[in-house]
Amino acid sequence: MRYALVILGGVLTASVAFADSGSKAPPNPLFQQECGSCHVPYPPRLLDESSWRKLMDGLDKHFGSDASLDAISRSAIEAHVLANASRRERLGVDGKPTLRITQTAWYQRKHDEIGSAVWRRPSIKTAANCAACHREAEQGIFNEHQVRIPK
Amino acid sequence: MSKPRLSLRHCLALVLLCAAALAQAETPQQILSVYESAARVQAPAFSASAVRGGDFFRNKHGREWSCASCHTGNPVDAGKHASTGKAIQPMAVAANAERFTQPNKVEKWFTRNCKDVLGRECSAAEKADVVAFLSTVK
Repeated sequence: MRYALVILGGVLTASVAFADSGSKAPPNPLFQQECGSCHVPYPPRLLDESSWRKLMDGLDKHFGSDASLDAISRSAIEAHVLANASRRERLGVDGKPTLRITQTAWYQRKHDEIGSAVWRRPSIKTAANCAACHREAEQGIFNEHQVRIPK
Repeated sequence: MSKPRLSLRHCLALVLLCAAALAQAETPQQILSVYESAARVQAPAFSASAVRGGDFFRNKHGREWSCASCHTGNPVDAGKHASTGKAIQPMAVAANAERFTQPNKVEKWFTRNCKDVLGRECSAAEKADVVAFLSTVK
């Protein structure tokens, strides 16, 4: 019990320290671990609340893979993504809701200067591979000034 | 200045994670024997086979992917997720001592990946064979 209190104390301190850092979600090890094993842990702010709800409801059929979680982890991660979701709607280019970040109008606008040949480079391979150009994507950092497009 | 906001859910998530990390770690042999015992309920003469496990690991099972699609046919090497390209640490215990030491993690990934590869959950016998293969392959 004493250890649990010590851990909780550490967590509270860390939460306070990160509370002022703007729209960036506080670090969440469970989210990082569970959502970061097959892909970059895409920051919750890249989709809106309704998209996250839908995505969390279909983890057993997650873009062609089974990504199901036990009930406790699922609800803890859902709470994290909903609390930090984009407050603006992130609709697809067709104006309809989408679960694919790369198909949102916002994403396409942000990447409209990237030619199709660049996307196909073996060093990039797929638009899902954020870390190819956003070297600190694993840590949730997507600052435009730190982008390095690989050859 | 904005008031610091505490997230109770965030705290809960971390505490759970720490609890999971403190949960008793096991050895690949212990995990293997649990699957072996479970398999013996149906087939009392069952004995795990690394050779059978290797074939199971490398072959497709009527669908697009085999285990090797992401983990490579030689599991001492690092693998790569078949759709996202993300690196996957080697599955072989010889190359990665963390493998098969956390029963919950082993079950989670067998459940997910068997559904992707076979379209169903794996039997205890299949899991025992795969663990036998991955804990002995060099």
